[in-house]
Amino acid sequence: MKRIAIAERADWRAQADALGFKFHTINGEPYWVEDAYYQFTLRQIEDDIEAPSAEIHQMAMALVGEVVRSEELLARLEIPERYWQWIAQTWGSDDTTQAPHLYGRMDFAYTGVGPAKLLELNYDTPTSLYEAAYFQWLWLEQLIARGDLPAGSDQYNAIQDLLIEAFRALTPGLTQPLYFASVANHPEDRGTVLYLRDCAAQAGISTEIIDIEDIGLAVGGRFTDLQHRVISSLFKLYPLEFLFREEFGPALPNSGIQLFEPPWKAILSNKGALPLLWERHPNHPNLLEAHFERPDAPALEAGWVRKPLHSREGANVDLIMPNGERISQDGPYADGAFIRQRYAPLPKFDEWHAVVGAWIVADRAAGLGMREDQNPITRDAARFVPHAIVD
Amino acid sequence: MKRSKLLKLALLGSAPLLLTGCEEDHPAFVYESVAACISAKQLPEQACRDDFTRAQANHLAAAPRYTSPQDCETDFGVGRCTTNQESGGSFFVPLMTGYMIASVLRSSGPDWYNSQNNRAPQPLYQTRGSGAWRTSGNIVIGSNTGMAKVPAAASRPAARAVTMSRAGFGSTASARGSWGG
Repeated sequence: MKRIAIAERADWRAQADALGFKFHTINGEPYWVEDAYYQFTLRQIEDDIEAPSAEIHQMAMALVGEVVRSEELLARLEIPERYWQWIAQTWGSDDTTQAPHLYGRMDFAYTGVGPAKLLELNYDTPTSLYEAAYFQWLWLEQLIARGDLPAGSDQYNAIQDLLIEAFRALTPGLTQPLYFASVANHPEDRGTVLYLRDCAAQAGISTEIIDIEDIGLAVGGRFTDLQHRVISSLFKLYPLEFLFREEFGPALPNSGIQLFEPPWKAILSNKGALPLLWERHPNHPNLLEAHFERPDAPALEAGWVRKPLHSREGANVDLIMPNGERISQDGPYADGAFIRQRYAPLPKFDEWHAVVGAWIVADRAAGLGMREDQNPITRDAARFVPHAIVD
Repeated sequence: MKRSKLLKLALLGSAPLLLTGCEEDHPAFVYESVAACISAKQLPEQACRDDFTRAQANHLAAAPRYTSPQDCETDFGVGRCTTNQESGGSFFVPLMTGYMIASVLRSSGPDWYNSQNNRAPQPLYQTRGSGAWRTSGNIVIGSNTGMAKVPAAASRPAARAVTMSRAGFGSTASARGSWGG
């Protein structure tokens, strides 16, 4: 695993603008970066990222099957009790009948040598999808075509093909149109949603777009769009735990809506899944030791990270490095329970801390997206950098 | 190879692809009344009657809804809207001026309409000054009666409901700012 400088395509911004990648630059700062790429060997990809992410996915799914049947575990994850039955229903009576899901991303600390260590699961609202699945692929194809990378170069990336396949697999049980919702005035989220909708359309599904704020609640408990049409199927790029705690949340279980991601994903979008995985698979080479923080827990020791159950984008994460240096990321998530996880340093290339994002589509390991940040805690400001497999 | 061979964008690109082949048409029949259906002799008489009743039963739930009669008449013509009561208050819908019996399946055998389970009946509407039929989901399916081909999305009636309130989702995002993943 190396970070290698390379010439940018002169026209990449024009291409991005024409291809719906409107958020390649965010608040004047580059988000998509292609003056370098991360280089992997095929063995690194297959043995150290693809195989472990497929295995951890199976471990995560088995965990859901256990948690939906345990009031004690649901309570430990701070999932509101009124949703327990609904979550269990969407999982189904055995572990093979769950409401379908589309995708998730695992973040790993991986240096190129030794096992990748799971930092967290982003299994409800993962972003950086379009750039990983499509724009990164286009970058590699064009660099090979222009002779800037060797003809045999490759990329771990079947994300889009598998997404279209996953959408196609939904259609027999899906009430169309499938609505795609994200928060208003958020171009990055809207971009991700428009990309997913593109994949759904390629699978032959009819689609609609709506702001999450515009969803209505009707007499009889159904959700509606701005034309009062009932929303029966909804992809929401919006955290389940937010939906649960907002005004319309209590109407969800009886609304007849099919949600993507499905309600049972609340168990895996929760940092509490990390200590639960560790308890079930102690010393697994790809897991980091993790525990729920007890109310009377002593101060954070060196070499540990403290994360809220529901943090995103690195918010409210405290990190004490082995040398005692403390790094804290502010945020709005300090109001719930915390977990502690053993610190695994991200590899540093020049001033960039790199994190591996391994994509799962439906239940298959699908591809890779690299992000890098000057801060050792990866934040939403982290830049996306393409990768290539060159042996 | 660890990557996809060929990727395309259907809607996001500057020249969107037409998604032909994905939106396969469903066979359907369109009539303005039970009498018209029976006299066309394309469907069994019982199917004409049963499906009119079923389409009519969908009408109030599926029809486009207006809170003012003027808005409804602007779209559908003077005297062509009716007032209705629901627990949320009154609303206005256009007259159901026809009905469609679509196949629930894309590819169906020649006698698909002999089984009621294969038939999805729904109300049709005509906007002011136009003879074209529209579904409750506002999909135009042409001006002709009798046998037709309709897009998959038009083969089912839209369900509607009286919206009581909005903005019940989204408050946490505005309170907390960033939250993506």
